[in-house]
Amino acid sequence: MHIMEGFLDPIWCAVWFVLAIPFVILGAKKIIDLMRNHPEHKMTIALAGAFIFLLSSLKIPSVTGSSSHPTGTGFSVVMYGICATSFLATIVLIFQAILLAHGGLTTLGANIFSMGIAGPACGLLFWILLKKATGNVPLSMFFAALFADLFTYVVTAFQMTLNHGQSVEAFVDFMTNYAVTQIPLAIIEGILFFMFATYLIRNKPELLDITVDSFKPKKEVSA
Amino acid sequence: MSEQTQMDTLAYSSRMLSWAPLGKFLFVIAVLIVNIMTSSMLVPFVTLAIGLILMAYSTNFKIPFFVGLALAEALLILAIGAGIISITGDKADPAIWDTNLLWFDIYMTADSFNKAWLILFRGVAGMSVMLAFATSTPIPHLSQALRQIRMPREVSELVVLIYRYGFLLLERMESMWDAAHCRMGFNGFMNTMKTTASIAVGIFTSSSNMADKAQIALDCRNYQGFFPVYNSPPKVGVKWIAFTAAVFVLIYLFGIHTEGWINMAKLFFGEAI
Repeated sequence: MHIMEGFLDPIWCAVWFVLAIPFVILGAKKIIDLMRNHPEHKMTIALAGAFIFLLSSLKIPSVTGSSSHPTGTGFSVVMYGICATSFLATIVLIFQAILLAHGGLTTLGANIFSMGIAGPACGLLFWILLKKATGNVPLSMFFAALFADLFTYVVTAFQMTLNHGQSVEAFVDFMTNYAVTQIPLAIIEGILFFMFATYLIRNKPELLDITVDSFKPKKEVSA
Repeated sequence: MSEQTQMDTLAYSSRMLSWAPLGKFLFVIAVLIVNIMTSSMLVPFVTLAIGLILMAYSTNFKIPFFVGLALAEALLILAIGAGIISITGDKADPAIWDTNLLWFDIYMTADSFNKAWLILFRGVAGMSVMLAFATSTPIPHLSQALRQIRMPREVSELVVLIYRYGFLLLERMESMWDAAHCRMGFNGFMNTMKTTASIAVGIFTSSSNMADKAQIALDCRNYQGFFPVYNSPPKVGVKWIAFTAAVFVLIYLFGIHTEGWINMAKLFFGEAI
């Protein structure tokens, strides 16, 4: 879904940057606090970021001026929340833009908004709702990842429409073109995270104790 | 040699290594912004020239194979995207080409055709400038440079960790991918889906173990929460800011004065447009 360098007009680049920046700043603060208070999670945080880097590098060209790929944000949003995910996504998107020419620096704000904020927010909503309703972690993870991925593309199609077309027909065109590659990819990503969750429950249940809906800061124990 | 090592080796051997990382980054951002500020077709060529000159000076156009592949893929995405923009013209304008193909309603106008070319040129030019930066700036230098703008230590540490882990996972995934391919893991749609999911889970589980081991190894080395770099990169100074501002203004003025000089629709379809 990364919108490539040069695809957005300056005004839309600025708008998406302004919308994304507050989330990224809050996310940076959250990650810094987490790394200071829970140094044992430092590697897991880095791993969550690297995992977004890896999954979102598996791109398939899409006929809309961007590409289709899994987003990998489902895991980090469930673990650390929307703002932290937006911060991790920012680092990853900068790496991908300068190292792999995947995305761009002027379109960074738009890409952060779709992949780091809107998509994960939708995924988190499904995670919380389903976990409360069913209590089934793998199933909740499946739908969180699936909808995080799909909604990311809805927002990207919306961003492209605002810049090139500004009509319902243009939005439908962009959405239809994405759907061909993105729906199967979103299902794969859902299955992938279902398997993750199953693995974590069996082997590392302690990691799931700090998911965003259950995270409580450790209280300092006085001597 | 691993992909990350290739990238690091190239960046560390660059002639632009001693330039201030933040200065280079500021310059790249300024050039990319001015690249999209005007609708002149000539500005992307100026940007492209800057990118190519920097790459020639920095590394004599040497780029790792995997970056070359990524660039080819990016070019494909750019070309397809530009093609789509060219055929979604405003229906209020006269059409150069109007037809239906599968689910596409093709409506190409002179404006949409010109816009598509402009976007394609901008994208290619932007890629060259970003690549010039990537091949001349090791990520650890960039992360250290972030400290110069008072970025918290944790952020620069996380930048390095994600970079290292990202490439480690990428290498691990490639070997798993090859192994699965040898075992007919991509034979048919269902097999492909299963294999892709299994590979990703395999990467996740092995990297999770790797993260645990890395934490223990770092603790054994008295890790205090940061990676020291003893050769600090140069700081960005007033000269960098003045030079960047001057380049920005010059290209912008050039763009303003050359708007409309090139009309791709006329070049392709003649004076009738």
